[in-house]
Amino acid sequence: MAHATGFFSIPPRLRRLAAPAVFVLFALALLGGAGSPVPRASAAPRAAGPKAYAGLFKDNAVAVLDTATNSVLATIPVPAGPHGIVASPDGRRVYVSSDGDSKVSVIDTASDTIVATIEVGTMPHGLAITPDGRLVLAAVFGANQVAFIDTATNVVIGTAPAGSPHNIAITPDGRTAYVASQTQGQTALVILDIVSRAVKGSVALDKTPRALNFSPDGKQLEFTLAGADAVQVLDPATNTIATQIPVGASPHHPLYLPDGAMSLVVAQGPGELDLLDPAKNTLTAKVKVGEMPHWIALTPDGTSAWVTNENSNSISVVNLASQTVTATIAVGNAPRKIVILPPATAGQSSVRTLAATGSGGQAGGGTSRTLIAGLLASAVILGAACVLAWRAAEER
Amino acid sequence: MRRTTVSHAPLRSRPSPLSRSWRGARAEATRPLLLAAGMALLVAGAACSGGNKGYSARTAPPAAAATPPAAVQQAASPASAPAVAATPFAAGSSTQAASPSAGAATAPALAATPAAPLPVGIAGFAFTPATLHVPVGGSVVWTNNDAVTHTVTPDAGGIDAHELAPGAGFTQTFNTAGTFSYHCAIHPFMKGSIVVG
Repeated sequence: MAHATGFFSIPPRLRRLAAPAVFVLFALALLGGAGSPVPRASAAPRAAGPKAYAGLFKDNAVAVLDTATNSVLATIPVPAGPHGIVASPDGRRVYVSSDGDSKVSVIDTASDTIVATIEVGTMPHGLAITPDGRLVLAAVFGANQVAFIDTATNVVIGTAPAGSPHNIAITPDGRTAYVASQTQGQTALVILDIVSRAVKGSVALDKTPRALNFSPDGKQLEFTLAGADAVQVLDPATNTIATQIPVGASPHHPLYLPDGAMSLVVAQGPGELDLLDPAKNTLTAKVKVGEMPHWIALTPDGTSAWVTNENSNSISVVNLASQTVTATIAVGNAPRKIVILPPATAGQSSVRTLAATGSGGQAGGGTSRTLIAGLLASAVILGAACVLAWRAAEER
Repeated sequence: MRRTTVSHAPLRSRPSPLSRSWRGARAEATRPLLLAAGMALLVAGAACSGGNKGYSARTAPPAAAATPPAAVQQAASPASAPAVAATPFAAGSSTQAASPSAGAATAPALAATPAAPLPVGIAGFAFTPATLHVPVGGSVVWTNNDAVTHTVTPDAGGIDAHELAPGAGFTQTFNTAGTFSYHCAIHPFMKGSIVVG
């Protein structure tokens, strides 16, 4: 009302100009305000570097991050308790199991939406994908079996028995799976033939196996046991434990670097990433990360390790050369498994970004269409309002 | 910036005919029109910004965390405690639990004093003992002696869910007979049960 009083005190000549001027300024302000969130929204899904996917166990969602900018790009809702996460070798798909449910969700990494949901049985835990990307193996904890998913059809083509399976490692040749079987009193690594889905053997354990991974040459399998503060090194040729490497309390996920010259493991008690020398079977360095570190993913160039900190609700980015944390990224609640897409997708991602920019930056994408629609709608309404105002004025 | 330029073009062409047409119009007559046009633009603006679901989803507040409620130390029911403490079973139980309690020495003398909670240790990714017998009205204290967080989560009911950081514990009283199974939600191979009665 205050501005109305001022309005009437303006001389009549100016007043005539002021009405449309205020109208136009108001319209411009509205258009500007409506448009401002758009650039942020349209820029977000396009990653500058390879994308990382982290399961947020207590949020029932998967966070999508850009490893180039260390930022969260999106959050994808999934069924309760996201547990295992793997990416296809071509980086086009990410598979997420939900242990509070019975499903494996398939995420299209181009759109970051769920494109398929696969029923695998109650409480699916860890996932593993064959090197050729044709099969995803799901450790179906509640069903005491491993489900084999054909990634071409997203159908479970068969199962193999394994008691309370938790995590799975596949040999680099893609022929054999080692399954951490957590049935109390019968804890073991169950060995499956991937083609025939038959149990080939078993390595009996006195403690409960947790997470496991093969060396790139397939000559070592590192795994961890609940209640043993050492990484167990198995020789798959003899299926015996060759040695144990003492590390920080409660080690969980072990992971080799692509060249096999180093391996890593998270120690959940002290909250650290331990760096190991697999040739000498020694601990070479410790890097402090967040609380209750859970899982590790490597950037495609192998220079950085991304570590999820379940109790700190964050991800620590560790530079493996300098052995320092270069970034700590806040994510949602209880981040557990994490995967970083392979380099193929990083390239595809840049191509997509370039293509979108090259076509004028406005023609593609849903967000730019929304902007154009908004602008058009505003212009039409503004025009109609002006015509109405004009007619009303003429009548008087 | 490009966007602003685009929106300027059609808008700038309007002021001159507009100002001519409005010549002679009374200000009182323009006010309701301005109001109506303003509201229409607001609707258009809202429609425009409302399309950015991706952005809002990205910044969506985290879903309610499944954090268990704060630990509630439940005292033994005064009504049932004297009767229970008088039984030989309860006396044996209180002896078993005597070591951690400084005031345990007075417990046998006072029948009305609730029995000390029976301990379940969590260590090496296991509940010890895995099965614990308590009398009706008896209490159990869980203590996490591991280096990692564990939970005490009921399979069905009868036990309050708790997330226990290393060193943390909680006590619960059981006033109903029955077998109550529980597990660690983080490490579901960890299982235990309390047999009450």
